[in-house]
Amino acid sequence: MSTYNQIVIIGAGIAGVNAAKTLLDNDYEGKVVLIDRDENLPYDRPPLSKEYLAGTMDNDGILLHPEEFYRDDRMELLLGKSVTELRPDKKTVILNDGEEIGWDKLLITTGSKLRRLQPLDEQNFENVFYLKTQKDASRVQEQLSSINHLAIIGAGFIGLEVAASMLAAGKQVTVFEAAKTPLSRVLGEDMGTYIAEKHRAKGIEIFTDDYITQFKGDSSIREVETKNGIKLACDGVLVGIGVSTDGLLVEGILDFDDGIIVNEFCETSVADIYAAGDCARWTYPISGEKIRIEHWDHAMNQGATAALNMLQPNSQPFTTIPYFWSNQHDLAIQYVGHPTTWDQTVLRGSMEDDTFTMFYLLENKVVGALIVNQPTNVLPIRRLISQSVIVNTDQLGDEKVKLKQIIKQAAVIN
Amino acid sequence: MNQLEAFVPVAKVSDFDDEELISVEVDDEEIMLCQVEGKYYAINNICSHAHVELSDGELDGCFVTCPLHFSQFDVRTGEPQGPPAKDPVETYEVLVVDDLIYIKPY
Ligand SMILES: Cc1cc2nc3c(=O)[nH]c(=O)nc-3n(C[C@H](O)[C@H](O)[C@H](O)COP(=O)(O)OP(=O)(O)OC[C@H]3O[C@@H](n4cnc5c(N)ncnc54)[C@H](O)[C@@H]3O)c2cc1C
Repeated sequence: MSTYNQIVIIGAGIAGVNAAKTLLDNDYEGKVVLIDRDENLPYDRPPLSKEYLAGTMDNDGILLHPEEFYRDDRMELLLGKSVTELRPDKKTVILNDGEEIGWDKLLITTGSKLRRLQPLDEQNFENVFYLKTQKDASRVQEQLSSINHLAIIGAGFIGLEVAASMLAAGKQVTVFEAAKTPLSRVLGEDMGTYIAEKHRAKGIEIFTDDYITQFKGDSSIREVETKNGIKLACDGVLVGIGVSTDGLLVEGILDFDDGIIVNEFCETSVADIYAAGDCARWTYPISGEKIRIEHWDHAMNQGATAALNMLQPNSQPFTTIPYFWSNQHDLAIQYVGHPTTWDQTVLRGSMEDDTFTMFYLLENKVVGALIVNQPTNVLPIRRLISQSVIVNTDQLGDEKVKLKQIIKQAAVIN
Repeated sequence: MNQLEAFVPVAKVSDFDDEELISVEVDDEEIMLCQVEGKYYAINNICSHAHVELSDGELDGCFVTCPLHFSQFDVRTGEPQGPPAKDPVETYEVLVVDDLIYIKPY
């Protein structure tokens, strides 16, 4: 069989770029072709709702790598081009300009797609914002001076981060959330309430169990009205209602179920085609569930693992415990694990002082933890979760007993 | 010449009895100290990638892991071992005299 002596990567987000880097670092002898429809040099997304939006980080600051990185002879970076078709039989991809590019191995790191508010999109207002790309964030920045009161739809992590960034920029902020408690799906009622109250105490208005039914204005929104009858005058609306996946490119070719299904080696249902990051659904060894993770650390690590398996098939199972961080006001939030259910929570530290860790347990094993302003805890807890051992819950809640001690003992008992 | 010229005492050897990473401040510089196989190392305590204290992380052999994005730095050279950090952190000369650990700030 002929070989192209190259690996194609679709999507130059953190997963794709780190996969490319891993291939080169491990002396892949062929060429790495990295394709993205975005025209900007590959950049990092987390700062878009934080430092970049607040204006404390510039275009260079958010680059994943400086331009020189891509000037490697072994790499070809194609920007402003999208892949429109996969041809696994010929081992090629087709670009929007018709070009056909061959591969020996293909990595799909196309990320996720923003959920959009259909009725709002149809009205084409000038002051409606989404936040996914550098362009999206620049648009907010450019119009910032004309925004005094921002309405945010969705009190998820991104919505709340933007709320905090905008408050810091001197704006008035109102958030609308359809659920009863923000973040409760991930963090549970108590922790969701805790975080919402922190925002309220800072002066951010949050309406829950409510959603906007009417957007009023001409070219720009000037007022919104909600299901519960709240009328709010505002001069900007930011939508942060989560992401979903797009199966269009892989339909009928790869197994897909809200994410491209991959095995533990990041390989899809078709040999030599791999997927990683936001777009991939994989089996989480801790729970055995098929999950899709929309976090940076996951994307970075899964991209690297996919690369290693492309170099040496079935060599590196992916087992990284999901992790994310979020900055909101003076809260440094970290979350590790991925429980979909738990039967107990244990608090370690003081919520009053905003310095604590909340453990989520299932059958006496720690399956997740929310860490607030206690960064020293994150690495030991990540280990604890990956060991999947029964712990002494009394000790877990007692700050006098060192975390490392608890972990050591747990490992011995099991 | 005094071998300790330009060095400042920052910690005691016994401080490492139950801590593996120690943070100290010298002239507004935040510095992380650690001990690997009986040898002491000092690097800048602030991760080169985001504003986080490395001393809140963990030491594994010669590598300290940042507690926010998990970049690892070689405490001997300050070099990052993988993403997200791209730049090294500063390293400092260390001397131990009796029970005292000295470093040489910039
Ligand atoms: C505003 C914002 C803030 C965030 N903050 C945090 C945070 O604080 N902590 C955290 O853990 N995570 C955060 N995230 C999530 C994190 O950024 C993502 O999980 C991560 O970017 C996923 O990386 P990825 O490489 O899988 O996908 P992406 O970064 O989405 O990259 C996918 C790339 O593929 C390209 N692409 C897609 N389809 C095609 C095609 N057909 N042809 C060519 N190119 C294509 C896209 O243009 C895109 O550049 C944030 C995300 C956003 C948007």
